[in-house]
Amino acid sequence: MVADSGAASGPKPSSSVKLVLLGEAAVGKSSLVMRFVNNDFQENKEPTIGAAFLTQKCNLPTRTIKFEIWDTAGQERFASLAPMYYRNAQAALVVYDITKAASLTKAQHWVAELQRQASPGIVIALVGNKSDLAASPNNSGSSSSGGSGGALSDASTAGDDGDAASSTAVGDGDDGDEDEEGEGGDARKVATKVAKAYADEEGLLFFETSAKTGLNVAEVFTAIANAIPETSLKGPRGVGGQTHLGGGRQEDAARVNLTGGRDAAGPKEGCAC
Amino acid sequence: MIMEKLKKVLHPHRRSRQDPPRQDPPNHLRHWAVAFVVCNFNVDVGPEVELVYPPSTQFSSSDLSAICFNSFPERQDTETEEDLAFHFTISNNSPDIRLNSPCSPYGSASNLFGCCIFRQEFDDTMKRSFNQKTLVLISSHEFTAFFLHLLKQITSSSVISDPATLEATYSQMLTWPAPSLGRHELPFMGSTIALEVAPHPAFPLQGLASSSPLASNGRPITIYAYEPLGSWDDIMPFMPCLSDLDVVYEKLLLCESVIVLARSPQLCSETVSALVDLIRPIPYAGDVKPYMTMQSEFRSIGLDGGTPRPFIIGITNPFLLKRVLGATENNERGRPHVLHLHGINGPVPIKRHHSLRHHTPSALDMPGGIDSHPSTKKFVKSDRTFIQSLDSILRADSRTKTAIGSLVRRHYAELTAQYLAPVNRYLATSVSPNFISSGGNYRYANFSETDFLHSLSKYGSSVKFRGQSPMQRHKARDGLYESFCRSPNFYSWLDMKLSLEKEASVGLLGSNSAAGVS
Repeated sequence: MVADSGAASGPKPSSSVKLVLLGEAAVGKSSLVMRFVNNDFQENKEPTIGAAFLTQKCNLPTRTIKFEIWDTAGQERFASLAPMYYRNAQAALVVYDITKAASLTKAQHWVAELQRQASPGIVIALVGNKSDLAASPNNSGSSSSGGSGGALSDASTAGDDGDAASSTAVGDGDDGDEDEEGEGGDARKVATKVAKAYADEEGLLFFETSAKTGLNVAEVFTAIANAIPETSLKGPRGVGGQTHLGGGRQEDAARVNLTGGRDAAGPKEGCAC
Repeated sequence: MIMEKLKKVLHPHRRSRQDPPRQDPPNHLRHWAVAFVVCNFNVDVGPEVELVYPPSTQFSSSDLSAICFNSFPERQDTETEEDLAFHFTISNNSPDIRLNSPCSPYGSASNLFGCCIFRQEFDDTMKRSFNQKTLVLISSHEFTAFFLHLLKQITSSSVISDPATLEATYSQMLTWPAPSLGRHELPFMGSTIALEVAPHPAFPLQGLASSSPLASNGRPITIYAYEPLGSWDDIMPFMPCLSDLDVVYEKLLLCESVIVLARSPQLCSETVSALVDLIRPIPYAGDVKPYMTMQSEFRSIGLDGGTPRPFIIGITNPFLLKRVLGATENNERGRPHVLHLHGINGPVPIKRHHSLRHHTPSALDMPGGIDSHPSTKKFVKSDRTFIQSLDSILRADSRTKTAIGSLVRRHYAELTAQYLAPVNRYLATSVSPNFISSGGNYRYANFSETDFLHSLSKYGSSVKFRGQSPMQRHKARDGLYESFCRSPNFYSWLDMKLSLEKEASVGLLGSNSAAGVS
């Protein structure tokens, strides 16, 4: 019942975090989850109906986070159900497909909707999936740069240079054809830089991932786990249940925390101040 | 889409070669529920089925029409703005619909339970300016409180009839493990619901703790599968008088028939559910039909040519009351007790502590010129302190939600327990060593009413009985126990007791088998 009881002393505090995945159909939401939960990948997965529910633990140095994952259907006919799934969510993964420019637009709509209607303190990660389809060398390397706070969770790969390097990315979207290392293989339509800039502007965590190869998948979830403000963590049960808790305090903590590079050191303890 | 999934899990041997194109969901997917049905009230045609999900559900046409007719209020009330949540029970006349639960609780083989959310929306393009639709969830499990919770969750922020929502809901439910006794944590549409399934539906006081006012925004944290739907806090203001509660209680205890007449299907079905709860752990052995309409099938409750049986039914239609009373007139069981729930105008409606004997029927009391019930014999003495505390809570303006509910439920649960104590005592002493079977299950000797009444007069009962003198009270006591032991309730209760003890002893046997055998 009591809000902060979960943060009490003990071996290693464990808390549940409700996480929702949103994004256009076929961008790979379920595949990301399957990679994260089962470390598995399936080509041509059938579309999700409504939403799938899975759980996975994430061990941090100071605490354990149990993700309660709501992997929603991307198909438009289920769009009206989304508010039920993101209601009381503490974290959201908004996924787009780096080979499909329109999917980023859709992702931006989701971000806007979450910022408008989801719980105030929600931690949002923007994830460009299918990075394995981009021309390989520097892309995959650089794209792992979660520029904003989250990436530091694990061996902060890139930091600022990451951004620089990601100039590899194709100019704003359209044809990835001849731009870079063509090699026949580059299907990228969304430049890392573009998405990253948007993410920074909105204060989102940002990653490019490949559910197929597993690249950066665990990193996304770890970054989110680190970014969840401790104040919003409750016991293993009743995560977002009590709406009257949280309120402003939590809001500030999370929002400020994630923005910009300024607090790159911040999220460690998940507290802005 | 869902069919693709279903195909994969179909038992190949179950599929008959003749009808490969028919893709029925296999039985094991029906662990929880059979189908969703959306009914629409068509002004020209009457109630009609708008959609069934999953579409392949093989309802018989008679069941579909029964679902339709039971899914709407019989009274047109243009002021209805809030959704109505109610439930009904119909006989399962769909041979193709079987629930296949792998473990207890198995669900009913003979009944289908329908949970409804009815919504009326203003729509000036319609003939009557209203759009009336009901979303129904049909199951063979009587997890009414749970299912209504699910329905409320999916309809609270969206339309009643949305195929995608139903598809999402259904596919979510397919991922749940089959219902079993104990606690389930079930993911549902963005949240997790804890469901407790008691070893028997007649366990008393289910859900009493969870309905504490602490549960945020009216959402219970834990739902008990068989918890009663109606809160006495909502029902009590409609009771004709407080002492009527004792009368109905006694009727139900002795498995006599009761008709609840109320203005809405929600009120009557909730009241039926709350009343049956009062005599738990005695399972009411008659037919329980929380909501019946003119079009309902009455053979099942022994009318229209059926075998006469005791029943408790909820109705909203005074003409139906007339018909049912008329049909039971020649019944040697006696006239069903009618509980007419009508809100009396006035701030403190319930202070009329008249004994029923002095109750003078007035035209206002019963619609359609039907006499109010004749004087009713009562064995159990009303508990004055209980009635008084009820009364004072009702009079207080600032009554906290659930104050009445828990008071009423606790009072009657205690009364029933006190009532059963002598029967339990007698049965316990009647266990004979000769009846211990090889499996270690003990069995009761034959029940002898005479022996039991002897034991009763020797040890007494802590229930307070009516009567001026000790003699009269003893007579009332013996009368009540005698009637109970001859009623179907006695057998339903004994049956439950025996099966629970058997299950318990099987469990015991498992843990002690190593040490027990010398």
